[in-house]
Amino acid sequence: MPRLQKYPAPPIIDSIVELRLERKFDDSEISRIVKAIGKNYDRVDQLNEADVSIRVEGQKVTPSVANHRPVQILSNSDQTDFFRLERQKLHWSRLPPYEGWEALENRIEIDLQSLPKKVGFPKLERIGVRFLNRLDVPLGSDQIYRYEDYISVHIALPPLLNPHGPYMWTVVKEFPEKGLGTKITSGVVNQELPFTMAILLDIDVYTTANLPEGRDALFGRLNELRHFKNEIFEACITDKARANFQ
Amino acid sequence: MTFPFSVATQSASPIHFDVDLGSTGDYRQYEFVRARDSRSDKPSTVYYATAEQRLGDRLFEATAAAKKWTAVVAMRLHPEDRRRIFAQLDRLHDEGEWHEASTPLRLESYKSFIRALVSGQISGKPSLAITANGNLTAIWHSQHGRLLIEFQHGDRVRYLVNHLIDGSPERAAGETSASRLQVVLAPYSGVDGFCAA
Repeated sequence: MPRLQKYPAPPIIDSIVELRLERKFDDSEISRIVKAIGKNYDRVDQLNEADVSIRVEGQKVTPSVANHRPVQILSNSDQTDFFRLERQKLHWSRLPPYEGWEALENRIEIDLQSLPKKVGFPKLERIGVRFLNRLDVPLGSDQIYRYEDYISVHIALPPLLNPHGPYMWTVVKEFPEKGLGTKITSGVVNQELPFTMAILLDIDVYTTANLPEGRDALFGRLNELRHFKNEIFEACITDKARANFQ
Repeated sequence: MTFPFSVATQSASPIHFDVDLGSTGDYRQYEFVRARDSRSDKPSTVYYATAEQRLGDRLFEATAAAKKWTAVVAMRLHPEDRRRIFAQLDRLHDEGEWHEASTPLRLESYKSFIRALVSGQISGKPSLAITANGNLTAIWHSQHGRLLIEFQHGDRVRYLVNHLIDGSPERAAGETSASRLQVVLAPYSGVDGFCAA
């Protein structure tokens, strides 16, 4: 029986697990992986992404394309489950409705088990768990969206600047004793529900230390990252926000 | 094939460019063209796309965009509603049934429909259709009549009601914002599963 989620209507808008690899896959390995893991998905899209660089010196503007990257995106027919394969990256994401960590973990496990034997379990350089949350703050009776009642991290502003419009902040912190790092970003994003203000709370927890060398160890480490991510999330929201997720 | 995009600079107004992929659409043969008369300040993403997109891909892209966007409000949408709407979207974009002259679903119209649903402006289990210009239309049938709402860009709606009132047919049509639907449809509410509560 699946475990009940803590919140019936979690504010998660994207849940991501990313494995960065020590070496690059070559073209034939990418083809093999897509063929093997593609069986777990309904659709395969092959894209090319390009980095565009623009150099501006006075009146002289020099644009160029720096890198082209082949990217394979595997997805389900509901467009909620995605597996993204790059030369040096394996990336899973789940869009709402979020069905819980176990469901995401289970999909990753099935995909990793499907990796061709010739490829094996790749040597890792970094692993990350990143969850994007959107807090929908309702309009108050005074016609002000009091987001500070929903998120516990505030920017102290002088009265002159209050109330204010959009904001954005990022906090980066390393936890050497845990061997983890985190980057937390919050800001006002596009409103999706009428009469609400949408606040992003993006929590990225990663590690480059004690990296697992096999599937079983990977899930143990991912769980550590996920628990720490949850701890940060709970520390950043208020009871008023929690009531909103019921 | 050209793709416009803009670059913000610290010292001046944005610089506007077109990336010209020529007639082949080959992303390796690009050329940057400085746009002289660009009205857009919004940066855009440069995609590689083939010149002639397959019908199946166009239909998939329309449904995929709608399904992906649904994710942003899925926590407020009943799972059964979501399943029913997705199944209808798939049927509406079935390649085998598709007429070449038709327009796939416009995402902005779909957003207006879903926003009306999650904010409680509409409810029930309407049939869905797509107009010739890609707008989503929801249709409620009841024993005594029919309500049709076309969802347009930016939460605007057009509605048409056909209803029997005391045995006499009554018709009403109008255009308003989704947030006003409950008010304008109040005379027909509570009748045989019509949408306005």
